[in-house]
Amino acid sequence: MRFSIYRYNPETDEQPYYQDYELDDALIGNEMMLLGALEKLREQDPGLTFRSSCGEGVCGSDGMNVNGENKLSCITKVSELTQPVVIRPMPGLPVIRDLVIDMTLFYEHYHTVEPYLKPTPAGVSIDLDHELLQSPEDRAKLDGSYECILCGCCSTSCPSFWWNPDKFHGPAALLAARRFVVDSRDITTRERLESLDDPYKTFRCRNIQNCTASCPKGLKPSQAIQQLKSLMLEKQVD
Amino acid sequence: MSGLLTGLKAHLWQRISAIYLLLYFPLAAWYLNQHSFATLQAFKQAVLAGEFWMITLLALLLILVHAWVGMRDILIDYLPRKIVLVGLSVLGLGLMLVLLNLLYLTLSLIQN
Repeated sequence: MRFSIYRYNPETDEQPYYQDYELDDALIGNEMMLLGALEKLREQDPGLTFRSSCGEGVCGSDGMNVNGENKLSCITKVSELTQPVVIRPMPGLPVIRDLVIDMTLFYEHYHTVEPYLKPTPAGVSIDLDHELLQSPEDRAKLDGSYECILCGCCSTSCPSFWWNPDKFHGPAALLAARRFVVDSRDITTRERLESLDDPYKTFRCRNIQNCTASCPKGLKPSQAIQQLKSLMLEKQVD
Repeated sequence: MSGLLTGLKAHLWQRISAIYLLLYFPLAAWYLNQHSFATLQAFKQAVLAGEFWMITLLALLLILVHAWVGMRDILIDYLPRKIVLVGLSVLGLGLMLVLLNLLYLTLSLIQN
């Protein structure tokens, strides 16, 4: 099987380039994932650099652009890919080396939306003797948001994020924002929505849907962003 | 309309104007189809008759609002960051000129 992999080492290379690799078909089983193939290729070329950890599609560390689509290599079957398999780092963020990108900006946006529960006014601590109860219906509203593993496949496939990576929060951060906006236990819904009311932070989303198409967990960030816009409208009008 | 229609307000006005225009154009087509435009005077009478001129003026104003929001989004997305402000200023001036022209046209029609 043939692979064409993006290579770039800023310490030694002036420009990025693609390197071709060949992997014996006998080494590739029907169930082999791309991460397994990359590990085999790294045995041939120990300098080949990529991130990986759990190998189960849970940690979200091995996002990469495979044949033009952002995917997690650990849950992408090699047998389903067309040859040559062109592998690049996810677009839109700086490359550290080969397939490893600098996700600082991505995490900064996530941090900005304050992705944690704020069930009490500022300065008031939580009463630890009592649980923060939630009805099954309210809990169900969190489905489709909390499962995000922050792999970055969505944000780095979003043209609006490519155009304004420092200002547009991107689908992943906005999905997280939606998760806390709809949480019945959070008391800062209005403040959260007001902080998102900005021509760049939320409203750069042009509903392109690349985020939804690329999410390896099957989530729908685009729908979540539209819901945020609707909620902003409701809170402004009521 | 603070901040020249940005964020949520822009989102809202874009939808309000879109819905209005979606209703206006078929209505205007149907209404104007009832009249003959053999002369300029006949056209003026048809346009200025009843409440149609007010509905039309509102439609023209909402086209400007819709154009501002849509064009502003395109400029922010596609122009290099350094010249976005210049682009937006040119767009704003252009739309202002269209607005002034529109008001002049309306006043002329009413006076004549």
